[in-house]
Amino acid sequence: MNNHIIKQFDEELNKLRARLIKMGLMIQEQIDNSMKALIHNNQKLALTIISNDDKVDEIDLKIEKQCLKIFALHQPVAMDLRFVISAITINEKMEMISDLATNIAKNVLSINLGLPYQNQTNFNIIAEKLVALVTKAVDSFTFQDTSLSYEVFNDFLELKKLIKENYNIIIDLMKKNPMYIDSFTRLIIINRNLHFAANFAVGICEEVVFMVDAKIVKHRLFDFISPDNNQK
Amino acid sequence: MKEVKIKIESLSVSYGNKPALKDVSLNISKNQVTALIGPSGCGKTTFLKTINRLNDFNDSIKISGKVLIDGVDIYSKNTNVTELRKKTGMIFQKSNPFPKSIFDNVAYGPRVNGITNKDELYEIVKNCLIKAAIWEEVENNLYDSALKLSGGQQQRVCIARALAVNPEILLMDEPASALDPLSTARIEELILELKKNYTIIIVTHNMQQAARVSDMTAFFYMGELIEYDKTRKIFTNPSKRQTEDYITGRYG
Repeated sequence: MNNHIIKQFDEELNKLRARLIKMGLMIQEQIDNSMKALIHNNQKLALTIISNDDKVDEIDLKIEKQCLKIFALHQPVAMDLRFVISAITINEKMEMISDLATNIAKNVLSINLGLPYQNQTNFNIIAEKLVALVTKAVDSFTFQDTSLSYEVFNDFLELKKLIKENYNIIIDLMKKNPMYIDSFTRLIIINRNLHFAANFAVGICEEVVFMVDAKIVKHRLFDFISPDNNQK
Repeated sequence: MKEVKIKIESLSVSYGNKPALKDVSLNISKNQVTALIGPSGCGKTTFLKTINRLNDFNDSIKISGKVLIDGVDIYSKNTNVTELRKKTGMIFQKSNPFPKSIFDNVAYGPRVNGITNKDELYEIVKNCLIKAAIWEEVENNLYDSALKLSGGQQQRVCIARALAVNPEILLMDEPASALDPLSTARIEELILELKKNYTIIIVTHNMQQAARVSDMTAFFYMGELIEYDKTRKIFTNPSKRQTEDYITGRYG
């Protein structure tokens, strides 16, 4: 890509890109830690996630201000316009993923430590797949690689199925162990948060496709997934 | 599909041996604003002047290809150039009112066309000043010199003067480049109003202005028409790399 004649414009765009990449790394860590905290019932890690959310909020504000500044001072068009517009939405989705990780951490802190659920739910496999999904979504932005975006659309459907199954498993466990109803309710909330987080990862990828190919794929996911997944 | 007002077919123009336009073809729809953008010397103004044959005065010019207005080739031998120029009003970068009163400026064209009745002339002048969105500012000093007006007002008087001969096409060569933002906004608003009745082609170096006022945008570079598409498409997702580089302010 050629440089702008006005160097300052390039500097502003590069600064925005760097901040978003940093934000991406932070939310990857947040979601990864939240899954570790959940699987291993690691309360210390849960507290770290909660405190790190402030740092994510801080960079979220910086990114938003940076976008405003670019709009006000440089009136971007074409690829620059698509980049800044996408940056606003991607930033918002990333911040929400961190919020969900924090919410998961808060719920982990309230789960009964003796609750016997680990081997009976899908959380292990969901955690692994969600972390991979978020990582792929962040990479698709960092490397502007839409092939990764399309992979995320497909992976999401698989994950969604596991989350749905997991919900039924938790409900069954709840019925069998009514004394732990409070903790199981928290697991249901966590399960739902995982679904939202995966959804936001998809949202990031939709923006990447818009930014790179100027194609709007939002609300039309089924047009862009492989035929195998389409039948699921 | 909008009705085509101006059809350009393989138009090439050169000044002596220096090519100014190379094999340009495009259709300009009726009642639309078409913006011509591109760096200085890319052929925008030559293109504009070709449409009302203002280039005829240049002896070294060579023109090939066709320019059809309402299906009629304006470069054919039978074309009445005076009639053609009546059809196409032109507004220039720098407002150029005649050193006469506001009234006489606008009445100039109709008088040349033989209208002498005072009441009829007054009606024409009033209507055109209204259409050019300046009537309220000048109705009490119609007989003052147009040169006393501000730049933005002078430009609108020039637009009124162009409208007075009932043109169908308005050619504007950077009509707001010498104006402050408020006067520019007035001209832009006027362009959007005028397109209901006229086909407008505007040359502009102001990218935001092209984006704001035009329906279609043509990007010229070194005499070639690089891209011609809906303005919305050009400014969000141009098809050609050269267009993208130009509108985003990158080195070509």
